[in-house]
Amino acid sequence: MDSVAISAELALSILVIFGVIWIAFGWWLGRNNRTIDDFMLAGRNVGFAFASATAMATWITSNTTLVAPQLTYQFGIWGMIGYSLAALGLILFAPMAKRIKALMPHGYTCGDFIRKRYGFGAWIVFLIVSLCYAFGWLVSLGMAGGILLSSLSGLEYFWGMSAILVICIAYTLLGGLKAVIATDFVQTIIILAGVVLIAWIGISDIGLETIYTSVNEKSPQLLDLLFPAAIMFLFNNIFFGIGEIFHSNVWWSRAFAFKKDVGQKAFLTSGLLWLPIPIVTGFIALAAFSLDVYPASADMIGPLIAAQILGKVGAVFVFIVVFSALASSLDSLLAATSDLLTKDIYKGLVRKQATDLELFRFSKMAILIIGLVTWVLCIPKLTTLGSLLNFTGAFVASTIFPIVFGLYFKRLNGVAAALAMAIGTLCGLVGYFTIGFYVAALIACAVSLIICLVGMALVNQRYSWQQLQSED
Amino acid sequence: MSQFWFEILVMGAVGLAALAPIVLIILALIDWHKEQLW
Repeated sequence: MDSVAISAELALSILVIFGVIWIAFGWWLGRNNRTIDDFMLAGRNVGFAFASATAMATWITSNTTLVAPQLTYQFGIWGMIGYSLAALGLILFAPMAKRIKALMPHGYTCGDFIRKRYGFGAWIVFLIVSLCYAFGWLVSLGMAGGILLSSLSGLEYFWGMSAILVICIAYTLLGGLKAVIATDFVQTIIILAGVVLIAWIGISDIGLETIYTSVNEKSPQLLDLLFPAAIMFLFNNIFFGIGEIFHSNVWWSRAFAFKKDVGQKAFLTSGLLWLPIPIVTGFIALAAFSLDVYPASADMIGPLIAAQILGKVGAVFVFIVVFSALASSLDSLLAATSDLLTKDIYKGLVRKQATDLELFRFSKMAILIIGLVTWVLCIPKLTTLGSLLNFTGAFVASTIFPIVFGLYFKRLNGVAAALAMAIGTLCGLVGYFTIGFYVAALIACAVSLIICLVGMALVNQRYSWQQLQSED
Repeated sequence: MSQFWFEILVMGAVGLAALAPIVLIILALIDWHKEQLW
């Protein structure tokens, strides 16, 4: 089919309108930011509604809107169910958010925790893992913006990717986490209304019976609940999702930023509300068999089907929904990675005596630096979204048990935690290249668990939780 | 998976997803009323 559904001028107009609204909103929200706590953690005072919405919006990424349909197209039923089980990450993080706030009421980043809990060596390994993941995700988001624009409007990949990055960098820079969270709320409502409307029109126009019958005739393995690669994917995705959330500063910074007693219920609510979204965005890909749509790139199957069902108006709608999904994650990741660079790299390694004002200024510069590096990495468009996303799975899944054991048990020491993350990641990458992307997170997580258990069996460290509250 | 369960899965997910924005807006109105948004 013709992949260009709307004109480049219309796409640019939508980008400019939304860009101006988000940037103005970001400036308005950030006008009273005076301290590093205001900028990095929204004053540590985020209420339940905004907390639930920002957790949900951040977890609805371009991957939920582009990769969930791709995986459903490749793995069928388990593709969408497997993706929806990534909600377990949010749900399981709920009690952890409460514990993080209780153990470190004045903390800033997940790096703070690893450094105080495990020491310098594990902290360095963690920072490498965390930054690799953060840039992997940032690049996948930037690329998704460019791919979306070029597929729906014919606008060149380079210009679409650049425009989306510039808009998100601008409002994050102006408003800090407060702007990120408030825009997330609005973006969540847009995304949810959009995906439900697209799904509903798809069901009304094509019919679930027609979709099911076509898939059953042309690609019946997609409906097979014993499809082996899909089952591997299911478990891989569960651990991947949990690893992404447990280790990433995107979620830790929210645990620090939410009001006391809000974190646990906000993460639980957002996880339950997020659970059905990948099924809603994913099942539409199965309509490809009824409509005879065969995309050049599998990650554009969702938008292409939606544009086919809904026509030009639908393409505009899809464009706005995916743009909102992209922005809601990109801004969070920019802010959280900037926090890591500011508190962990700049204050932790470069300038230990930096004042709050210096950190405030550096955190803004860090957003610009991260944005620039992401933009450069996005230009060559080296891989598909799904491949890039799953490549980072090896990194994040290796951190699950060092984080969980570190939060709840005194026994695990820094050497075991560092080895678990480093060797787990390496084994996950070996699995990625020798077996397939769908086992990377699974292997990384299993190896990391074994090393943590052996470490705890060999050495009985008696860590004092008070050390987590010590000043730098 | 049978057609029956496929339809239950998809319709159930669409229904729950439709509830989500309503829940979030109600929560925000409650927080706003209590002056606890931030």
